[in-house]
Amino acid sequence: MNIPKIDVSAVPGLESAQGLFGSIKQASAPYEDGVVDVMVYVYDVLPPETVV
Amino acid sequence: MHPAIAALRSPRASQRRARADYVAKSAANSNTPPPDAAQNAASMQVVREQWLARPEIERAAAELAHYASGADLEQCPALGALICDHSTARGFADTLFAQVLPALVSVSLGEAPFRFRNSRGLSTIQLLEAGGAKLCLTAYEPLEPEAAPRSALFADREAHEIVVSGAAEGLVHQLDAKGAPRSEACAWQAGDTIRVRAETEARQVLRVTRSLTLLQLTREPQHPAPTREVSLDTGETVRSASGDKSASQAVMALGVLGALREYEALSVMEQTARNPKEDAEVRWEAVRQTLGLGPVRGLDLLADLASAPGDPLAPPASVLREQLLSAQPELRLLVKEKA
Repeated sequence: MNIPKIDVSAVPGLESAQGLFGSIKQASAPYEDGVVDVMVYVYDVLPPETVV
Repeated sequence: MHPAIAALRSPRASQRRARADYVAKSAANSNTPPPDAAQNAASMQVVREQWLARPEIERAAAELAHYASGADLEQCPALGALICDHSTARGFADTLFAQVLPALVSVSLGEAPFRFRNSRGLSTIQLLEAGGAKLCLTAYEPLEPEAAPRSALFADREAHEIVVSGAAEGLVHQLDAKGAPRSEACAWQAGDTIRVRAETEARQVLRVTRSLTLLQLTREPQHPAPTREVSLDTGETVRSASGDKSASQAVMALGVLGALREYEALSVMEQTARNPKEDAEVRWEAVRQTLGLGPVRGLDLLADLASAPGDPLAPPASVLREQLLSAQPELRLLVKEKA
């Protein structure tokens, strides 16, 4: 039997839908300090073992 | 930033070449082999541990955990002094630099082992973290002035800040009980403190006259409310984004599982969608991806959700089920066969 498919892209989000975390920036503010949580700690000369 | 450093930072290849040159030169100039990357990392880690073991830092870290669990700042005297008293804040920053800078000089390819973030004119390092509370040191560099901002971000995050050094001008915004914004111009200089309440207050640094260094204490709940961008003219919410990083990660993970056609994930998706304690956006994404992977199970899920009394997802689930069945009448066969 051929089961009908549903296209996910056609299924709407919630009415209250919001952007993902950190996806909005302050319009026309000089510094991007609205989100303080996006941080990295990369030791460039010592890649994590999974990368080696 | 020095142009040479900026150039070095942009292409990765030049960083590696500089490192290879350095290693070759130090090998030529001395009989002892240059420290390898692992040694560099280890010696920088020791510096961090020495700093963390200082009695005043240990005290601040313990109080930060207390603060993260909901205590008032008044109940955290060491932390309070750091963020309210200029000489304490200044001493804290000086101690950090006195420990880290000599290490960076002696370990040329070392990196201060703290989480950090750089963007145009703004650098932040995170020194301590406990639960949803963080202590960060942030520097704002002078930039070309821009037009006055028309909107501001209001996040579910409270902040206490003190100006360690430098000077800047900016705005502090406050939403009144009706949500209308009121803005006040501020000029900050060394020793000034800034208090930002969660959701109803925001501050914007607009013009830095001398590099501004702030010590920042922030606290967020476990599941922060959405961050809103509010128009400063009208008070309307222009856009909103999730304030909950883990919820956004879950939404993305569900999308990836769906795109990869991971049928094994179907039962986890269903459980997620049915869990009333889960974030609504995460639950709805689980519904969408279940429909995509397994239309039969997805429609069953929608029917269950639609009939769950008091579930905030019941109305949208009911509407979506009707929409799907009328747009694709062949789906009725699946539902009927089941019944």
